Amino acid sequence: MNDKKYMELIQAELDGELNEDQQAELDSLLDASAEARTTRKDFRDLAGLLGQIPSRQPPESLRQSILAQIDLAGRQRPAPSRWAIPAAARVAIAFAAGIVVTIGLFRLAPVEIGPTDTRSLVGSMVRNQALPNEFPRDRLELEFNILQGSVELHRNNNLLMLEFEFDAKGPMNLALDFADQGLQFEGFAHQSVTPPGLQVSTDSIGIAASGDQSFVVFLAYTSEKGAISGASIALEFHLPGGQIHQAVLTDS
Amino acid sequence: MHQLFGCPAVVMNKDRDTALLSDCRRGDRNALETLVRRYEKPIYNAAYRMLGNPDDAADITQIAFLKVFENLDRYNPKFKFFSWIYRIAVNESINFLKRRGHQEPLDDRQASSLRGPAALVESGRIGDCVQGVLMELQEEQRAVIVLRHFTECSYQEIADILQIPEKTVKSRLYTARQIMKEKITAMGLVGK
Repeated sequence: MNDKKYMELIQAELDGELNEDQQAELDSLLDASAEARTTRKDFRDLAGLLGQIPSRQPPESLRQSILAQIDLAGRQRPAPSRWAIPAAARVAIAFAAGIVVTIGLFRLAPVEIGPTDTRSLVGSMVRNQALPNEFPRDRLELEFNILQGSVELHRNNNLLMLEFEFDAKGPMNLALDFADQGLQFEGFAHQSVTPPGLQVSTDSIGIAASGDQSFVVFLAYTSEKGAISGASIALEFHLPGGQIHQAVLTDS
Repeated sequence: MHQLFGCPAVVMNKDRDTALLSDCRRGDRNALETLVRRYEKPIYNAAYRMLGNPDDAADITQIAFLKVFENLDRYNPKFKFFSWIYRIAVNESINFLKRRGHQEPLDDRQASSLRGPAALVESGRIGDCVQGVLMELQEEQRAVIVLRHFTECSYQEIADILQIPEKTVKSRLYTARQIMKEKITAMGLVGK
C-alpha cells in the first residue's frame, strides 16, 4: 500500500468517513506499519488540540440587531457596515453630540450653526457612539472588480445622510445630482486616510477619491422649495476608463 | 457520521429547518427568531475561526443572516439550510480577508495571535495558540478545517458549502492538517 492510500484512510477514520471494509484495511495497515501508527497519532493529537479551542459566545446584542433588520413582510434591508449601529446614524449623533473633530472647517454660505446643525461643516468623523438601530432609506451595492462597497441613504428629520464606504482601484470621480429635489448641501465628513476632494454647487456635488474610502455627505430639505420627502439623488461613478455605474437613491 | 474527538458539534434537523423557513415566508417572526437562535452561535464561531476577530465575526454573522432572509424566496428546500448559510458566511469571511489583506492593519490582539504562537504556548494559552496556527493557513485551507472540526460537516457537506469537488475537500484537509501538524510539532504541542 502506498503512502497516499494510507493517509487517505487515516484521514477518513479521523473524520468518521470510513466504512467497515476500509476500517479493516486500515487496521491491518496499522498493525504492519509503525510509520502509519505515528501519522495516525499525530493527526489525532491535532484534532484533539483543535477540540481544545473553546466555543465563543456571540455578543448579547447581536441577535436583536439581526432580528431588528429583518422585515419578513416587506423589502429586506441589507446589513450596515458594523453590526450594532448604522454608521450614518452614528455619524449624525456624533455631530449632534459635538464630538466631530472638524478639519478645515469652512463656511459655504453665511448661515448660523446651532448645536445640532451640520450646515457648512467639512471634517473628519468619530464613530463610537451607541445609537438605536435604523434602516437605511435606500442602499446601493457596488460590486465591480475596480469598485467595491456600498452607499446608504439615511434620514434624520429633514437631514439626509449619504454614507459611502468603498474601495476604488484607481482615481474615481463621483457626481451627485440633486437638482429640483428641494435639497441643499449641508456638510461632509470623512474618516479616510486620504481625504476625498470636494466640489459643491447649488444642486450637485463632485467628489474625487481613490482607495479605501469612508465618508458621509449631508443634504437637507429646504422647506421653501416645497418638497419635504421623496427626493432622489442621482449618482454617477467614473474611473479613468469611463463611467462604470450610475444609480438613483430615493428617500422613500 | 461520528467524530472521534469532542469538538463543538452542530447537528441540525433539516426537516425542522425547512418548516421554520416555510413559516418565515408566511411572515412568522417566532420562526425567524428560532432560526436565528439556532444558527447564531455556530455561524458566529465559524466566522470567528475564519477571521480571528470577534467584531468582524459579528459583522459577518449579521451579513449572512440578512442575505439569507433577503433571498428567502430563492431557497431550494432540496438543499440543507445550514449548507446555504454556512456557504454565505464562509464566502463572506474569505472575501473580507482578501479585502482586508491589502488595506487594513490587524488589530493588536489579532496580530499577536498571528505572530506569536510560540509565546502563547509558553503562557499556556493553548486554545489561542491553535487559533494562531489556524490563522496562518491560507483562507481556503482554513475554511475546510473550520467546517470539518468546528461544525462537524461531512466531506460531502463541505463540498456543497464550498462548491468544490469532494476530492478537493480531502486534499485541502490533508494539506491543511500537514501544515498545522508541522507548526504545532515545532512548538512542542505534540510529539516530534
